[in-house]
Amino acid sequence: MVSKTSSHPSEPIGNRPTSKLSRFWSYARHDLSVYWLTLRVQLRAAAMLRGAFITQVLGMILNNICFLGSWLFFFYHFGTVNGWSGTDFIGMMGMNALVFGLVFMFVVGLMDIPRHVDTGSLDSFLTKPNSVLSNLASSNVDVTTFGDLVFGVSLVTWYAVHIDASIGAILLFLIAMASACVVFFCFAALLPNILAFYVFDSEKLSRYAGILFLDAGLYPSGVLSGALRTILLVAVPSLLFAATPIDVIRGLHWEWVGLGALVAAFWLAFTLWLFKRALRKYESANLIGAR
Amino acid sequence: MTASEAITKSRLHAYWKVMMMSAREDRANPLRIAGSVGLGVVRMILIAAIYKVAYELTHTTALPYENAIWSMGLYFAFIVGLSVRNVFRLIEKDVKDGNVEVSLIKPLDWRAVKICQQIGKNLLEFSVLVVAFFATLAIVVGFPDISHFSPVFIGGYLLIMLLAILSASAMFLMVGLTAFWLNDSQSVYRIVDRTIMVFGGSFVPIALLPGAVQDVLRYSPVGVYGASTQLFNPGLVKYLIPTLIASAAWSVVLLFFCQLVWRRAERRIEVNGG
Repeated sequence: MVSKTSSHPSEPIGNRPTSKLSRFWSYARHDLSVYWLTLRVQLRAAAMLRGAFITQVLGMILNNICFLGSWLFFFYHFGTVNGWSGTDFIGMMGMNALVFGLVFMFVVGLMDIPRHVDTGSLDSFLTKPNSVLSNLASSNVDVTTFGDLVFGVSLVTWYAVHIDASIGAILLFLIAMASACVVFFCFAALLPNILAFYVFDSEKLSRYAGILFLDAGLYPSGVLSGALRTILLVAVPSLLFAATPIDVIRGLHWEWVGLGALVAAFWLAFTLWLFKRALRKYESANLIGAR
Repeated sequence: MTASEAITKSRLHAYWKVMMMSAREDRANPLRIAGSVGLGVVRMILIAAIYKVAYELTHTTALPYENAIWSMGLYFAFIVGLSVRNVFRLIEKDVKDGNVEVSLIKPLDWRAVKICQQIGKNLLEFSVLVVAFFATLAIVVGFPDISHFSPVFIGGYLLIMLLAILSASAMFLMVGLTAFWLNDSQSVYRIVDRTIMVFGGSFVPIALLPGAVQDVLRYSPVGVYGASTQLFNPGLVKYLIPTLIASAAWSVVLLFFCQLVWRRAERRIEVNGG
């Protein structure tokens, strides 16, 4: 049930808050409460198949270990490359899994946007009296993200202890992680799926675009320098969600934290603006169905 | 032509038709193909850039830089692009939707149809990917050293590729069939697929793996699939015959186990009617 304290947008106009700011907060509170309730229902449904739930979580942890293993062979062969060793790569993979798990645990429903747009099932999201984005985000859960989260937290903790990180570095790291989550949300979750409003049958294309962004962060791209590094920091900021936080924790690079926050703020504003604009292009399919 | 020969020929023709019909799905959306191929190319450029830094700083001689990148290109074109592995998705979908019982009454083998559908679906994308990778890698990293190429080597390699498709099909059919017990075979798929990714030459060519790992891989089912990415590894010349024998042996073993799992799975099929 929706909290009684939140002002429902469908309430009589007389009962709604009058000032712009309080209206914004009341809508945000209402949207968040609905979002949270929907997500909890989805989680309960996913956890019902206990066997599948556990195997999926463990499967994802194993999957990540395999990915880590494949690149560790790279460092085994080449040793330290441009200041990056196998240990740093372990930390980077942990960071990557942590951000992936954190973001997709809460917004994996956005990955279904192409299917909703192509089949016309987006109609049912548009008719609800709360934010389309939060509605879509909570429409699905992926239990494997728990595996990512566990894996990520374990590796990052191990790395921080291993390099004997200071409190200041950890604090800066946490800020860098927040920027990383925002950048990841924009580039892996929302931007590729907005394509669905412009290109028919774009599910695979969106997936590839997301994977490419993810790949660039998963590879030891921290070893890169020059133009490619600049591109990966600003235009397709993959480095921001994996390599940069590791650079921050091992060297207190506050300037990277500042750049990360700026880039994240820009891309978040742009992504949300584009989503709003793209949504206008959607044409209803007159789909009839029960939800 | 005898009656059995005629039946076999018509069946093969039917499987071919299934493959070509699936290939039409790809043709209907050229933008999607262009997009995924473009992204594949960018991915290769990124890997090539990372390896360039590593090669420049360490001066490794185990495998020429060009050959290393072309080997990984082959992995992404053949294993990722052709995606025989994704046959598990088609199997899993049919199991979940309850379409298996409907498919079983048809005159064509359900599993073979799924393999044909999977290969057909990615055939065009695979072909475009091969051309795009060839052009990109030729420009970005240059041509690989192919001094080890000979008619026998090429013939043996093509046979390894065919056996790799066969063993991968059997392997991933088994993965898909686990949906009969687990409901969701994604986790099993991940384990098998990622093991292939680590040891199949995705991010680190097999020739750059530690010697002991290479020795074990050569005779394992994972290595058999990965051997299909070793065209540009001069070291394969020395092990061509053992690799071929291992590929043939694992194909037989995996097909046998696939049949065994299928027999068990068949017992769990329930006809819903309606």
